[in-house]
Amino acid sequence: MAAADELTRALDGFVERFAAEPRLKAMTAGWDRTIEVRADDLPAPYWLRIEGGVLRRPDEAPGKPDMAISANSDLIRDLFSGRISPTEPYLTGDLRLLASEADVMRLDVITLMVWGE
Amino acid sequence: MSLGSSRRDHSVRATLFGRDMEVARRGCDGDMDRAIALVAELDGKVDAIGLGGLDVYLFIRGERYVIADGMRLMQAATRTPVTDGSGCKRYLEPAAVRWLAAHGPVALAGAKVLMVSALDRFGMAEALTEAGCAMTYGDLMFAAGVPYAIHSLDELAEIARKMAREMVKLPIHMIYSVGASQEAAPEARFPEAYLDADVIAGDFLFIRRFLPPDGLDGKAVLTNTTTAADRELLRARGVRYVITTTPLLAGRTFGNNVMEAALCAAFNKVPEELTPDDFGAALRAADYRPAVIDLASGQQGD
Repeated sequence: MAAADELTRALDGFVERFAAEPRLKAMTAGWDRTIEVRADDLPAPYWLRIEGGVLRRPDEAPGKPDMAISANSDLIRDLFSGRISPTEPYLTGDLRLLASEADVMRLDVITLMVWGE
Repeated sequence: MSLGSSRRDHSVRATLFGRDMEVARRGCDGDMDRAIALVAELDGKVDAIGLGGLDVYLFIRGERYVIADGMRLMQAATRTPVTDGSGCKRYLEPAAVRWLAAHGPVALAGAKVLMVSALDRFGMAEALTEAGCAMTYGDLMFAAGVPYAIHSLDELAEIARKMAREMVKLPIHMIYSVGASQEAAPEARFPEAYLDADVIAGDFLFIRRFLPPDGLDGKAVLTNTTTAADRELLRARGVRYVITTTPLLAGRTFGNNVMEAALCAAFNKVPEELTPDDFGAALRAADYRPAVIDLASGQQGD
């Protein structure tokens, strides 16, 4: 089980990597979303907000979530730190995404742009 | 065997590559389980099986990516050669572009070309670039809804390296139009990309799915194969030329997978044994040229 601060570091690292890839600003244009990230084995959820092509990690819920990601804390940490890709855990059901198929595809593209290769 | 609609099933006798053949199409309406059962049923009973409506292999600058659902289908046969037509895409489609660059009717040098999907036909993308076209690759736009146009082969290959290895694991319905969605009315997506192009190229199901309702006057569509209904749709929306990379043989065009399956049957080879020389010899023997249809006159040109 990953500690809460490990998840915080993984998510902050993801936000930094996102900001370092300038094409993601264009790729997320017009796609403003609030994402709830919940580890099954930790008490409080985390939040990501994409707005105007900028990704940030607010400490509090910035509004009603458009998408929800849930898994155990190890998987969430590994996913956002680039140790694993989302596709296989998504297909096996270990990673659960509550979102439209179009949003899932968009999030997959973003993750692969951040961590691909 | 096609993952597309069974409503277009047909059977035809034709002389292909010097051999008399019966070519039958069997659609599975997007049902993967039915498709796997059909391939298993045909295994050992036919000389070759072509898989339509999906890809198994993507070839991108020396890398081969395997689409998981496509491979499941291919592995349902253990005796009969099975092909997705990716060899034809690698060798025949670039030949079609070179023929067009030399003969028209569309001047490719300087033409603005939208490839709605290029990762599934990288050979065509390379040939169009070599012909001097100003390219827009719409893979992210049309496959993933991401508003990002790619304009260079290098960036296309870079994004493929980042994404292809993961995307090929997704269920086929998430990355390709299958079953009933193939016949749904087009819903325009990124219409400005279509309107800005002189030539719209790529998989016809993709082209059709996101086709704008108008504004296509005088444009050309470069694709694999089309039906009469497809050509009427394009004509009604103003498209001037339809160019299919598969040649007119025995009075009709066949899909890449059918062409390659016929080559396997004629040469008694499995797809992996077909060499570029085999494709070259077959193209020369057939006096290969793409099929060019002028929708304004209804005439088929050279």
